[in-house]
Amino acid sequence: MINARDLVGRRVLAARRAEKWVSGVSARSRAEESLKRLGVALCDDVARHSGRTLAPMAPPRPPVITSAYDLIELPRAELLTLCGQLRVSAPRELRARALQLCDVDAVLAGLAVSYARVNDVAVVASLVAVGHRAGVSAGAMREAESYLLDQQHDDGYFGLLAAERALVGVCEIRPALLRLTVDVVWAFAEAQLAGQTTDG
Amino acid sequence: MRPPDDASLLRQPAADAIRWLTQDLPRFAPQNDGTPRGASVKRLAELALAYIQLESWSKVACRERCAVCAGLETALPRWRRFLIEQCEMPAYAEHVRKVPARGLDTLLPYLALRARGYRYEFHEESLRRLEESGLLDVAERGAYRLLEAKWILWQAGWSVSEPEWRELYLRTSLARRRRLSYVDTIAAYTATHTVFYITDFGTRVPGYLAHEAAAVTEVLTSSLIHYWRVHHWDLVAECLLALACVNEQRSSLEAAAENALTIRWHKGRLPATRDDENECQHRETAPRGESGFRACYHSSLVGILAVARRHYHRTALG
Repeated sequence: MINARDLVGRRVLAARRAEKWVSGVSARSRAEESLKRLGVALCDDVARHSGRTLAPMAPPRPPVITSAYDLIELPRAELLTLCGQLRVSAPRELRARALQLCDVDAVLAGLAVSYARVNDVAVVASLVAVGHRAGVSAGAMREAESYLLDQQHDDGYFGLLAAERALVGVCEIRPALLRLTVDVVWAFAEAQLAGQTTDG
Repeated sequence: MRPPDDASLLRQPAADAIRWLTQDLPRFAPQNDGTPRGASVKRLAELALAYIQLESWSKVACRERCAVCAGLETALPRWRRFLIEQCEMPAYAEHVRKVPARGLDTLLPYLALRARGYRYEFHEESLRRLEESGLLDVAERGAYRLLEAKWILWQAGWSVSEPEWRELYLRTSLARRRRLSYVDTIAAYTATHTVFYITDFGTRVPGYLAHEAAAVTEVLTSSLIHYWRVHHWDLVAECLLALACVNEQRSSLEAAAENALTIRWHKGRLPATRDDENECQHRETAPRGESGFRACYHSSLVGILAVARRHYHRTALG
C-alpha cells in the first residue's frame, strides 16, 4: 500500500535532486535552454508546493474525447500527442469534460500502470500529469507516480538509461534524459497542485 | 447506460467457440512434446477442467434457451466421452506409473473427471501408489501450484478434508500485494488462477475474501486494461473470468473489454496474442490446422468460461 503522505515527501525530495541535475546541464540549443528553464521552474514548484509554472495565461481548450475506453488502444505516438495537448489545456474545462467520461479514473490510472509495466517512463509521466490535471483521484494515480519515483538516478535525472547510453553515447542520451526529467517533474508538479486543490 | 449483466454480446461468439472446439476435439489428445517425459497432457487437462465447470454450471436451467446453453447441451456429452476415452488409453494410463514423479500432473484430466463421479480402477490404483510413495504430498510446490493441487485433489474427492483455503491464499503473491506496476505476465496468470481455485471458479466467495475483494479487483482490473492495450486476449479473457468469480456485478469497464474481445472473436476462434491476431488478419480467414488451433484454443476455452460464469450466475439469481 502506497502511503499518500510518504509520496508527497518523496516527490519533494526527488524534485530537489532533479533541480540540481537540471541546473548543471549545459544546454546546447535554444530549445534545450528553454526546456532546462522549464525543468528548474517545475522542480521549484514541487519543492515549494507552488503551481505557478502550471498556470499559463490563456490555456487552450482541451481536445474532445468521446470515450475513455478509446484511449486504451490508441497507438503510443497518438497517445503522447493527445497527452501533450491535454496537459496544457484549461484545467477547469478538462475536469468538466473528464467528469462526463465513464471510467476515466480507472482508464487513465490503468493506462499509466500499463506503460509502467513496459518501462515507458515518458508515457507514464504524461498520463500522470494529465490524470491529475483532469481531476482523477490522487489514490488512483499513486501507483504510477510511485513507479516514476523509482526511476530516478542517484544523480537526480529520471530514466535509467545506462544500457541505452552504452549504445549511443553520452552526447545523444543527455537531451533524452533532460526531456524525460522535465516530463516527470511536470507530472509531480500537477500532482502537487492537485493535492493542494483537493486539500483546499 | 448500464451494461447488461451477463455478457450477452459475447454469447454468440462463445457458442461458435463451443462448436469449433467440439469439432476439433482430437487436438486435445495428449501431445508428443519431443521429450523423454512422454506426451504432454496440458490441453487435455485444460479441457477437463473447463468441462467440469461448464457441466456444473449448466445444470442451472436457462429459460431463454440461449446459444451458449444450446451449444453446451450438445457439446458437453461429447466432451465427456472424449475425455473418458483419452483417460482409458493404455499409453496415458501407464505413463503415470512409468514417470510417477510427474504422476499428479499427468492425472489432472482424470482427477477432473473423478470430480464428476467417474472412476477407473487402473488410475485408482495409480493414485494409491502415488499416495504411498509420498508423491501426492505437494507441500513443497510454489504457492499457486500448491493451491491448484490441493483444489483438484479435494474436488476429485481424493482428499477427504477440505483444504485450509485461507492459509493457502495467504501464501500467494495475490494476497501479498505485489505492486501493480511490477505485475508481469507470469504474475498475472498466477493471480487469475489463484482466484479460480480460491473461489472454486466463482461458486463460493469465502468470508475472508470479502475483505480482499476490492484489492483483488484492483489487481485484476489493472491487468485487464494492460492486456487489453497490448492485445493479449488470452489474459483479457482470464481477467474477465476471474472478475466474474469475485464480483456478482459486472462493471462498465468489463463490458467495454468484452466489446473489444467480441471484435477479435471470429468463427469461434479467439486469438491469444497480438501476433496470433495479426496472423488471423493476414490470412483473412481464421487460421486452420494445428497452428491455428494452438493460437486460439486456450483463449477460446477461457472466453467460453467467462461468458458461461456470468450467464449462469445471473440465471441462478433469477
